[in-house]
Amino acid sequence: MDTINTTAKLNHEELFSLLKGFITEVIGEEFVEEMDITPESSFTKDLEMDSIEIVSFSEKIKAHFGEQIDFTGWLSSMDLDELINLDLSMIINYIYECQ
Amino acid sequence: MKLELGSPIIRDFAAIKNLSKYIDTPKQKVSAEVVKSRHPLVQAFQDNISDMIRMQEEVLTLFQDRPEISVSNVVLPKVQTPVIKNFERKLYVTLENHPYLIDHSLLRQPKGWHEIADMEPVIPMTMIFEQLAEIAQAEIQGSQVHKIINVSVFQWMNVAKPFEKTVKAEWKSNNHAYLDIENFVNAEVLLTTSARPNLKFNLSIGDLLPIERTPEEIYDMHMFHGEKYQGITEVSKVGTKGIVGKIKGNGGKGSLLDNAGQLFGLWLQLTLTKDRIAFPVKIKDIEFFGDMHDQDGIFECTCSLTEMNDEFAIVDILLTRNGKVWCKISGWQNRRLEIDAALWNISMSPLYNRLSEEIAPQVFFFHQAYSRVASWDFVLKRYFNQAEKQHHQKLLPNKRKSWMVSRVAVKDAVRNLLKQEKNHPCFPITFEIGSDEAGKPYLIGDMTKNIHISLAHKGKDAVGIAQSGKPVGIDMEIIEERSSGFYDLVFTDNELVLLKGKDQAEWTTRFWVAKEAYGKFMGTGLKGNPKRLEVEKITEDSLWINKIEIKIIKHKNYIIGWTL
Repeated sequence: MDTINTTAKLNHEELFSLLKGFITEVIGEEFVEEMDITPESSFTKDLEMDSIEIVSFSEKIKAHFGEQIDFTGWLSSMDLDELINLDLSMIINYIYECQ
Repeated sequence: MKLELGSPIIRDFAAIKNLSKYIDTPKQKVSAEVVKSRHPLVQAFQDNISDMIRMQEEVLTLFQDRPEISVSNVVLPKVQTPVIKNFERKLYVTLENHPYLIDHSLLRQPKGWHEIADMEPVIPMTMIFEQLAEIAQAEIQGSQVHKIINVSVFQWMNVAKPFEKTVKAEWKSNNHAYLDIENFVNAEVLLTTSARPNLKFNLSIGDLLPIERTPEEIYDMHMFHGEKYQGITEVSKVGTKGIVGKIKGNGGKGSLLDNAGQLFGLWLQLTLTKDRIAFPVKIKDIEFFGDMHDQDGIFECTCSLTEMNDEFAIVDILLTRNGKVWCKISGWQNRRLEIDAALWNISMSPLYNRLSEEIAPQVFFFHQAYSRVASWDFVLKRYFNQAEKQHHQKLLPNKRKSWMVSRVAVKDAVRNLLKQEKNHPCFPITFEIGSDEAGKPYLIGDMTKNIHISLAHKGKDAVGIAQSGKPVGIDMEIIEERSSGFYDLVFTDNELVLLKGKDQAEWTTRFWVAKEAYGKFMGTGLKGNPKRLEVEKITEDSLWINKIEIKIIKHKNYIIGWTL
């Protein structure tokens, strides 16, 4: 049994604050201050993250959770509409399920 | 002390005239010990005290040396003291009751443009102070405007919609009124009923410069004004310190004195090397030696520089007609704007100028170098229609700049394409750029059917591309080292083989840009997984994905790539 993973299991609230921290690192604190990040924030519409920013965000998820979460694989299974409407709560739910 | 109404005004008290004699202004009376201590706190304290002493002295000196204002000497036998101290008047200025104001629009748009708001017709400063003077003058029968002093304007008085305001006025003495339109303008007006002496003044314009301009050139290249405000008929002399020309009113209210200001503005444009565009914000003193309303005929106008710094330029101006001084203006102050030649050219002749640089055929790069908000605003107003401006307003502040720079680049690309392929030069405002749900930009407009566009931005830089008949995708990215996590997420095994042995910062950026450009060309983007789009081969300056060639160039510290 992998001890690291069992202790690292996070609840929805903890996941939200973790992901919010990643977003802040990617797009910069000064920009985050201007927006109100909530679980309903959409990546493309509200946060307006571009591709290279989403890759940096994915990198951070991968670095934190390791192989247990295939974030990019999950993203690429989506069609365009789903991607456009992707919001933080969907990612939180996905990671929660995978843990 | 009992309040004595009707006593002389305060500055005429002998006691006050001698005030400074009784106020001791100690200098360097600090003990040697304190001076020696050099403690930063003591130092700061001393600096503050000496500042205060100096300010006090300056105020006293100014007070004692103040110029004798002629008002107190003017005899006004016929002037009746206004009964009420304060009064209000409505001011209602529209394009219907002042149709010539359309010729005082800040923005040049296509002939017959449907949207007046895009043209920004504004009330000239000279018109508003004449109106304020008239309001005061109407209160005292038989009076004439002698002086208008301390004029300040705070923002443009736009008449695209009716400009309806209350003028609040207050009599400071029986011939001296202060008038104010809150947040827009205020001024003081001095009235007289006696004739004023005919004086001679000499204003210097410094050493002559070999610069000539015809009125046609002036209104083509230098001044935004339309016919009713075009009154410079001749530039007689251009000097290192000023300019002499002939001017007239041309039908628009305030146009005669507006042209005095234009002549000054022209001189700044002709002689300055940077921030050459300037607009009036303040005037200290305008003195009329004849009737303010008698503005017919040709006037010789001399503008003579008195002060200049990075922010402001100040001149004295003299208007004479048939050898007689009609008006002397002291302290006409223009604020210099951060508008460079490129901005001014696109403003004066939008059809034949653009802000972006063509760095490869059909690829336009725009670097927004301007720091002041006013300059961004200047671009926004010239490139975007009402719908676009509203969209811009709704964006998060941090996204506004990148939105704007990229749309400027792509609008320039489209305009260039229309000129080349259809011989149809057009204003940037005549077509619109919308974006679909996925953020993919598209064109809206009659002439732009079947033209495809793509854009990319990074900070204050952007690229845009336009192409007839088939989709196109473009991207730009800064050349930099990527983390190992980036390699894992972005590149396939085949790509890692292609990248081997190459300059990693540059080539990983090339590959990334190729994928992005291809994703945009497809209209889908990377769909969250950059590995889905695989670079298959490298040929000279191009990368290939799914048999589509992506041309890649290096520009500044960027890699820029677009589909062919």
